[in-house]
Amino acid sequence: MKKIFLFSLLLNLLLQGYSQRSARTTISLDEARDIFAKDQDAIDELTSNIGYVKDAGNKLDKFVGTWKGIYNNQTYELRLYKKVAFRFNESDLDEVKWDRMIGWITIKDNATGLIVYSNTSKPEKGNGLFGTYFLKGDLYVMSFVGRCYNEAGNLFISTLKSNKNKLRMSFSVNPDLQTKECPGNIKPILPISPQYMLLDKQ
Amino acid sequence: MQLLKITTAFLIFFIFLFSCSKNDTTISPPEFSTISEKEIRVFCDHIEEILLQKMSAQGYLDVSADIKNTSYRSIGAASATYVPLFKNKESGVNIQLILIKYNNKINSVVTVIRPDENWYNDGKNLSEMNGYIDYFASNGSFIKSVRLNGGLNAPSTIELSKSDFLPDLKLRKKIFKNNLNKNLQSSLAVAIGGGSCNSCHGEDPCQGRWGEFGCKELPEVVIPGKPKDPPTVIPPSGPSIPIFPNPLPDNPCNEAKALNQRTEYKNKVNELKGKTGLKYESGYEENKNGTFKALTPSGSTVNSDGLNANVSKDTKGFMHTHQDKYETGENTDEGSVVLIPIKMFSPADVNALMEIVSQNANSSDYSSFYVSMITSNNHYMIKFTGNSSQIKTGFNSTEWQLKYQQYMRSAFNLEKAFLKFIKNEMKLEGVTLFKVKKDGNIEKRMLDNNGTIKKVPC
Repeated sequence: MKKIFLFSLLLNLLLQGYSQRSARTTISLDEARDIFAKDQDAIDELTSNIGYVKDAGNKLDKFVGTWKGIYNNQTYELRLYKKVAFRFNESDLDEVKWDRMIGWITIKDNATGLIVYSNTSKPEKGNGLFGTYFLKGDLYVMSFVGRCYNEAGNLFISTLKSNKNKLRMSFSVNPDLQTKECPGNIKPILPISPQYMLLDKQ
Repeated sequence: MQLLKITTAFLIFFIFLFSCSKNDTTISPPEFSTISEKEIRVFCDHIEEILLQKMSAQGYLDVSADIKNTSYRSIGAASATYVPLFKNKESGVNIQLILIKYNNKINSVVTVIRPDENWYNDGKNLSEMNGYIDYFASNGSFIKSVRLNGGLNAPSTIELSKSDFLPDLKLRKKIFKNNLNKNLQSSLAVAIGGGSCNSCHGEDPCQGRWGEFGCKELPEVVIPGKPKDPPTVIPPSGPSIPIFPNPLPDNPCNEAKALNQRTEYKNKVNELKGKTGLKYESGYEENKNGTFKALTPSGSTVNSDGLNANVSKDTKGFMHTHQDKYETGENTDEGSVVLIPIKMFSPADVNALMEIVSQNANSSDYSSFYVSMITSNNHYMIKFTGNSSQIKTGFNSTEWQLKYQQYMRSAFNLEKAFLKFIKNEMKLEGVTLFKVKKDGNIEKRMLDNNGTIKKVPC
């Protein structure tokens, strides 16, 4: 009798496990931001079922294209592509799928004509510039990893309300332990928020 | 589809059911046993999956608790219960789970006996064995390895250094496969039979208890007490087998608890909790003598300084903050710009721990070393619970940062993403995540087989 009871209990648990796994939910990029703002323990419970973060309302489309601008006598060219239901590791079915921007950036020094940074030789899934969530309104957050470990942080982009063909861009570094790979006084290659730059749609 | 699910569920259930019931033959433990069959069964059920997984990762395939062949041995005033887990008659490798009741709790250790290749041809007594004994906790985590030179009683029994460990799984497998000497079984059986069984060549003097520690000799059991106490020694009547009470106490857990109870550490935690609103991390280095030294910012010109955490021979651990989200001071058409830091250990944090461990690679116990992370709401520690051959460093590079960002900025459950990252990407075994809860209790946070978080109280 005990075994029958145990059996049905186990069967129930197993089936529940299956149905939970198959019924993963989809949320919007705005909802993703709301979750990130919460305490980790709350996040744990809320999000175990999220399988897809969708660009509800196609808010990302406005960023698609090539953007160019000059800052600190350097020319920045930013190419942004929208990827739908993107996973970094296709074989990891547990990885949350995101609608996100992938960015290709080339920075040229106007004085010397030399390229000071470019991620264009890197693979798409590992180029160091990918989108995450909307921080607020249409202010979009991308993750950027540049020339060394500590040159990593968030890139903030938004189009101006007055002119949708102008892109405002700034960068903020993730606090972390200093690594020997990065010189302690390295100056990030992107404008450090609150400083920012404007780029024109090409 | 639904039918398939149900069938699968049934199948899994029956596998589960029968894998446990194959040993249903009643065991009659000798009188002196204080651990009942039921207790053994419960214990084995409890530990089996994770232990087997870890053991097979060590290269010991086909490990399973052979409860039917459990044997009992009186060791001085105590009695020990030996559950065979694995034996390889060719190589002489023998794994068993040893249980002992100690302070009314069942303590356990898994011993792996690895005799030197040349040993078993000589028909020598076990007490003259040359080789290794590895000790694992019943959850499969490595405790230590001991080199035996000239037998279990030899004074030359020494702690292993890093170079003494077999380097990798492949080598171990190779050793098993290559040791196909047919005479090994009988000669080893003679050897472990205490040398008094010279006439049994070709037979099994241990009658099914093959490969146990000297089936005719009663080993001495050494039970270590608290770290500073001398070990309790139960009167010897044969070669010695140190038995580590486990899972109680669990060293890394106990070290985590002890650290968290120290007034000085607690004060620093409270102080650091007040610094999570800054735009850069703050922290302390603890030296082995117990003193804390403030970590300094790297002095960069950007808005967010890196924190210098340089590892030396004296470093015991680092404690540091991960920041709350903060405004950068910029206002856009959409509102103010806010950076949301990742409130989980970074690759550089993991690297710092591994650097500390690496500085102490020859130590037999790494459980006192730590890196802890304090946020406004949470307090985590990481410790290394692996063995010296699993020590890896070099995670403080751009490549690791890049992969880490891809993992963590895509995930909602940071504990899970972090554990997956160290397992799947860093391929780092033995880094254990501890969460210090608000009530002061500590839990290990681990990934179970389904990839979900398992909370194991310390």
